[in-house]
Parts: sequence; structure tokens; C-alpha cells
Amino acid sequence: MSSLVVPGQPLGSASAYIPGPGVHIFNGQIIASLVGQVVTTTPPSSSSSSSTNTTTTTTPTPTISVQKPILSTTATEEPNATLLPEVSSTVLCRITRINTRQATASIFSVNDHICGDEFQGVIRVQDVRLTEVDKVKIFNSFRPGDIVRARVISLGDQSNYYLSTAGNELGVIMADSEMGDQMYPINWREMKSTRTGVVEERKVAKPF
Amino acid sequence: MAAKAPDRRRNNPPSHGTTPPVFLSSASSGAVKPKQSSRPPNEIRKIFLRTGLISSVTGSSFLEIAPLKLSISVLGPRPLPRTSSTPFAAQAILTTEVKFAPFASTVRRGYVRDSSERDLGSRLYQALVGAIRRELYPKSRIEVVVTILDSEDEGDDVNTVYMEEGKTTVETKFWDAGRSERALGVVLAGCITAASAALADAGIEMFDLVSGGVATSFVDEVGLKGKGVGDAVSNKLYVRDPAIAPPEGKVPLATCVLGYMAARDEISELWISGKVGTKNGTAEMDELVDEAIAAARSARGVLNEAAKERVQFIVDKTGTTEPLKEESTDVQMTG
Repeated sequence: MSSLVVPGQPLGSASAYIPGPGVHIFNGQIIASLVGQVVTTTPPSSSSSSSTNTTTTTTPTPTISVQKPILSTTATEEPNATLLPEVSSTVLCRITRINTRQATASIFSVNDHICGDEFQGVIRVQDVRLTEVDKVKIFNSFRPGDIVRARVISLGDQSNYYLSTAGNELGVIMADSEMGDQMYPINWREMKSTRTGVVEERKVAKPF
Repeated sequence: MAAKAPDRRRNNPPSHGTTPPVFLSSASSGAVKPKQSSRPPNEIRKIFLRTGLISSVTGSSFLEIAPLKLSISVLGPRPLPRTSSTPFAAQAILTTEVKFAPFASTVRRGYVRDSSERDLGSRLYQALVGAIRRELYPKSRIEVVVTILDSEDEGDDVNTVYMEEGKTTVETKFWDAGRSERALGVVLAGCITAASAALADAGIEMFDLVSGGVATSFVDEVGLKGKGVGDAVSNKLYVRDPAIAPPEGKVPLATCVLGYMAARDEISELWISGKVGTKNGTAEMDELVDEAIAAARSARGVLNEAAKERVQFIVDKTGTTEPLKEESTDVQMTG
């Protein structure tokens, strides 16, 4: 079992390791910035043919990081309180309001981890899909209550993260019909009610 | 300080408490000074520090140094409030709040924050803000909330009274001067140490842990009477982590409180109050600061262990539960 480190503790020379999460560099030293266990991962000895210099037996630089162990004994995942959405992270969100220009959403999951707090994001009409952007109507893409997989394209302004569903794998993944029963996707822009068979328009994510 | 507006929203008890009077016996003459413990001046009092006691917040800690008891909650990083006036924050916004519980000092405090609490809050902010890697948490808010449950501080009213008395009769009451600074200094140093532990418990990335240190310089009472304060340099006594009562026959000169990052050798917050002579240049001040740094270094040892303790507990627990889990699945498979 590896021993624990505290913030400020030097872990090694900056030239010997690639800094991963939980560490920072100060005065040419890699310093821990979290309390936790030191994890060094050596990348798999990739194509050794790329012997650039005279040193033929160059081992790849290991990545050093500090991980805070989580008390997760059961399958129920605890929310990660220090998790924030970043640009290009994939999020799950619930549509809260729509108007002609944008759909407002509440982000509850970032990169398959549950957030401690919900963040507010918007999907603007020009970010709904990749093609024929000017024909998009928010009303035919999302409805309040839909669960949407989206990608963060900007940290946005003070209150909203800017999200995009331009991509096949992005869009509505769960939705209820106007009658309130669940719908299943039938193509990239339509979903069908399980009970009544009514077809509604959505920007549907490609099922895996 | 301006008279406090009465708090009409709550049913308040009398503001000064109702302790029954304790009369001195006629045999003992004169006022009794509080007793000084037999602790070497270069040794800080024992610290009790533990993290992760409040489960509903991101990180928390509880600290005890002799009579001082405080608990700290760290909330966040959480999204900025929708109504906030800040346009866009590329770095996390840190807010610190220090509140004495109404029963924390001998004179009952109000529920509304007073000036000394706001002052402690801004000093705590200054001590912590440089240590947190705020650039990792854009558009978010980290809140540090300190509740002081017990302290040696006697509340603003008593402190003001003592100061006013000191003005009229300087010699007799001088040993009480700097009383509130010492008490608040110990509180602030405790806040800094405990807040670092709470931030570490929250898993918020930091450049270094900040530990608080406090030191007071004392001189002989007799040496002070004839000459000015500045001359009594010779028998100077530095006390780390001073109790509110001065050592026997000594009067306090100055108190220094600082937030210190030991691994980087950086001071993040410095607060000196009292009389520091300037005859020998800044040597006198440097000595005082060095003493406070030494006190902060001592506190850092405790802080390191406290920060590790909870994580070690989790490591041990996950280490022991994993084989148990395997056993249970084995049973299921055979049955």
C-alpha cells in the first residue's frame, strides 16, 4: 500500500514524470496538490522503433498523479462534489425551458459522474445539429423534461454553460410524449410513443 | 463601536448573560490574575484536529486548542448564484465567513456578525486565497464557513472596556492591553489551520497547506515602569501560541499572527499589532515573525496528520471490504 501525501509535498523532479491530475509543478519539482495516494502509470511501451536519439533503451516517461480514494463500497455512486463541466466534456442534462432561440438545461452529470450541484446550460438554436442549421426549430428538437446528452462548447457567461448537440451520438436520449408516456427513437429526428404510437419530433441521439 | 441595533427577529436572552456573582474572600487582596500553565514559551498547546465530521458538506474539520473550539465547513465548488453581479469568473470565487456562536465568549454575542468577525473573515480569506488552485474551478464558488464554539475572547464589550480603562491608568492596567489581539490571534491561527484541513478534506486542489501561527513578545513589568517601552529590549520573552494571561511579571508588547505555507516557505497573511521597536531596524519585528513561523511549523505537523487521517481511514476501509465482498459473492455462487 502506497503511503499518503499532502498538498505541498514534493514527489519528484518535473523532468522524470509527466504531471497528471492532482499535482502541480513548482521550482522544477512535481508537488502534490491533494491529499491522497500517489499513482504512477507508465504508458505501454509504445512502438520501440521510434528510437529518436542515441539512447536506444528510452523508457517512456511515466505519468504521476495523486488520487483521493473514495468511499464507494456499494454500487450506488456518490456525487462528486468537486466535479465541474469543462470544454468538450460530455454531459447529461434535463431540459427546463425552451424558447425560439435556445433551450435551457440543467446539467446533472459530467463525463459519466454525478455532480454535487446542478449547473445551468443553454443549447442555442445554431448548436442543435450539424447540418441545415438555419432550418432548426427548438420546438421540434427539445421539450421540457427531455434528458439530453450534449457536449460543452464554452464555459459561457456568468450563469450558463453553452452546450451543443451537433453530432450523431448527441441529442435526446429519454423523452416523454405529450400524453406523458415514454417514447422510443424511430429515426434521427422522430420518437414514437410506446402506448399511443404518436410520433413526435426530437433531435434524437444515436443509440449505442 | 457603535451601539448594536437590537435583534427583534429572535427571542433573545440578556446580552450579557446572567452568571451569579462570585465574591472574593476578604483574605485574598487585590485582583487575581488568571493562572499561567507551566508550558515552555517555545511550545504550542496541544491541538486536536479532525476532518470529515459533517457529512452534508464537501469538506469539514473540527479543531480544539485548549479552550478554543471551532468547526469549519467547506461548500463547493458550486455554481455561482444566478443573481450574482460578477460577470464571469475564470477562477473560483472564495468566500470566508467567521461567526462566533452567541455562547462562544464570556459576554454573549449577537446573531448578527459584528466587526471583529468580519475582520477575522477577511484575514482568513487573505490567508487561504493564494493557496487554493482557483484556476481549476472556473465559474464556481468555494465557501468556507467557520463557527467558533468556544474561545478565550471575551467579546467586543469587554475588550473595549479594558482598553478604555487602560487609557486612564496606563501602568496598572497595562498587562491587559493587547488582550483581545492575543485572543483573536489564537482564534485566527486556529481558523487558518482548520480551514486548510477542511479544504484538503473537500478534495480542493491547493498549492500547499496553510497553517496558522501566533506569537507574542513580552517584557518585564518592572523594566517598563521607569523607561519607555522601546528600551526594554533586553529581557524580551517570546511566547508561541500565547494564552490570554501573560506570564508572571511580564507585560505584552506585540502580537504576530500569520498564515504560513511551510513547503514553499511563504507567508500568506501577516497581522502584527502592538508595539514593535524600530531602533534596531526591523530586527525586532523579524524575531517576532520568526517565532510565529515556528509556531506555524509546529501546527503544520498536526495539520499534515489530520489531513491524512480521514483518507487513511477510507484506504483501510476499502482495503478490508474488498476481500469481504469477494467472500460474499463466493457464498452466493455456492448457494
